[in-house]
Amino acid sequence: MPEIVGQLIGFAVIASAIRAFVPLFLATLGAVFNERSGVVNIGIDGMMIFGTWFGAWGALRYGPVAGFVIAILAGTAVALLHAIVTVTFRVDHIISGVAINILALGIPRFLSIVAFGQGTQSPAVEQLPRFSLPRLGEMSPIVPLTLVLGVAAWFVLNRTVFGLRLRSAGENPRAAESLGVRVVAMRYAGVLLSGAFAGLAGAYISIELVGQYNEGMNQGRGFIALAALILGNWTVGGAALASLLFGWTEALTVFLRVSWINNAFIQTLPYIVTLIVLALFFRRVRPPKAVGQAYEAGAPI
Amino acid sequence: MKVEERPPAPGAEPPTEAVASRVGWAERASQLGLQLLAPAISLLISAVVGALVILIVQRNVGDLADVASTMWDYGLANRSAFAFIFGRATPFIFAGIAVAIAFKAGLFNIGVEGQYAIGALTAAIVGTKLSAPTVIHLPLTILAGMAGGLAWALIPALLKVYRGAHEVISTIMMNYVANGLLLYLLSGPLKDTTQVGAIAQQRTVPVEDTAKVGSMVPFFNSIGFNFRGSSPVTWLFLLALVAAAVYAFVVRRTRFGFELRVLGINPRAAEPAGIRSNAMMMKAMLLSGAVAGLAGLQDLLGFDGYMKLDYVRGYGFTAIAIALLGRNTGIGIVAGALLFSYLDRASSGIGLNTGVPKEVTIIMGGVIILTIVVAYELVRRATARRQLKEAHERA
Repeated sequence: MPEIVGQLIGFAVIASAIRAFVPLFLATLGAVFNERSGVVNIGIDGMMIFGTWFGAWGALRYGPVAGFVIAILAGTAVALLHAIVTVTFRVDHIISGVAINILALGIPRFLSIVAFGQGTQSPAVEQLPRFSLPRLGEMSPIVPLTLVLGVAAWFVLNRTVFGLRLRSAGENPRAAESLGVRVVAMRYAGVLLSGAFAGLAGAYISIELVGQYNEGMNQGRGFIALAALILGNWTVGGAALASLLFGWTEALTVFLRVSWINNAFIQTLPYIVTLIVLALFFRRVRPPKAVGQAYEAGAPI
Repeated sequence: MKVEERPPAPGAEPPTEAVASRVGWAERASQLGLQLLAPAISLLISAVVGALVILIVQRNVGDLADVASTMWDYGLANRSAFAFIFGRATPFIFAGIAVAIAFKAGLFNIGVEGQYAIGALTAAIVGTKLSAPTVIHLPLTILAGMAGGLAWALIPALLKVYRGAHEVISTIMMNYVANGLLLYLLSGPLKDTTQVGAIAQQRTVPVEDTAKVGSMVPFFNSIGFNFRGSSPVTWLFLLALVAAAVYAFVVRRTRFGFELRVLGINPRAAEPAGIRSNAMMMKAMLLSGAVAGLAGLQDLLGFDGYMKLDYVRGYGFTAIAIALLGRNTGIGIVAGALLFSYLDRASSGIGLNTGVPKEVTIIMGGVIILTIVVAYELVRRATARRQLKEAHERA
């Protein structure tokens, strides 16, 4: 059946999978940072949504490069909110994340009406100049940038003092503090990095993948990234492989056409694969030990 | 010595409340005051933020005055305002209870959205395909809605209990799968093919009259209200109030409710106390889904009369805010539902009567959520500190 093979692993599918891989991997990298520092960030999806909006708005006003910068700043700003609520005020991490996701449903619509004159989409925006790959076609420069960022993230997390301190804040904050690590600062750093990555991922979706902002365009990618984090066992390399799997399933929703399965169901493939991944792998992985736990600096034991 | 501070599970009351029953009424009144302080602060901040947003965006104090007067005139003083508020509060209350049941057990049901959509779908199937007298048809349709919601909560519940999969991600994924299922059924097997022309929608045929829920307007008008005949409040509002009362009773006064709370406050204490935590988690999630299944029925059986594609309307997300605001208590959920319903009403007024985008109320709702959790946490710490001090004084 050559046709089905083409629909599964043809060059067009692979190219599409790479494009879909980028935002998932970026968001998952962000999640690796916040979780390894000990903070759960369910709000990553909302931070990506803010990234999609601010990316498009920035690109429209100041060009695509500025769009990316503004989206990263916006994601970081929302992450700062999450850090203040969870790290400083020690509110339940998931409640804060859910609140951010709800904000991300409302605020972009308000901003759209103010900035674009309508609630659900922006005008088309200018994109970054493309480069061409043999067989795979045109690619955004964000694709190689993502790979560089992946390597950099691995290096920072595993080969620098900062990375070691960040991880210690998520494994055993009390022991870390006794050795002079500023746990609160590390957790802020983890969450802010996460917001920056989510903002970048969102901007890639609106500016590069689609070329405009549409309401709901993030399609729950932030949650899929959290599943990729679990599947990748909280490591950068694992995150890359898991994001590749989810990127590929996303590409299949475009290319796979099976006569006996309604297309509406093929569209839900990424979500069903995520459920299957959760079912199969959640018990086999090892999350950071102190993730999700409140930590009070200087408190007596 | 200081006990290590663990953030309470989302549904957990602060441990102080258990003590409160043993202290005097003056103490209890000041406790209650402290508890009410949090929502009051939160509402105040949201009003201030809303005002600032309007000032920044519109750069016009007149607009602010317009919005304020609309929020009063149209939102509350208008003839049918409360009919709208009660009507919209109906799905909010059901969805809020659904979220709260899960919260109580320490679970996050973010899938209320998908569960009520599937509940509305199964109710629509029974409402359109069955023919029976109202006394049979309507209860069956309502039960079908609950069954649909329960079924949609079953997969996340199973994944949680048997595979340990976090319910936040799995319930969200189920929302997207629900969308796919609706799209397939409403554009195919269940589509009303008798519609023609440009207005043809992807929707079911109308439900039978025997499955529809009657308007509550005549009742309200008989007790002195002056609602317009077409106002959107049905007898499901009463059912929602009853559901809130039953929920409050079950949580506070039954063994099941007690076990639910223990599981939520300290899961590790549950098993030694003889509570089968897996079974409780399963029950909580399924019950949550079943109640969520009721949230779509107001639109289906009381308003539209048919199921259409846009039935995922965000009630499930608002419900999370409502449950948080109401601290998972029956009366708190009703109050929270009325508040968010009022914001919806005010929103349409702002859209009709002022030059300000009506979405400003969405921002206010969002600010309420974020500030309320911080405010409750600060109140919790203040009470804990005070009790610690009193304990020291007694010692």
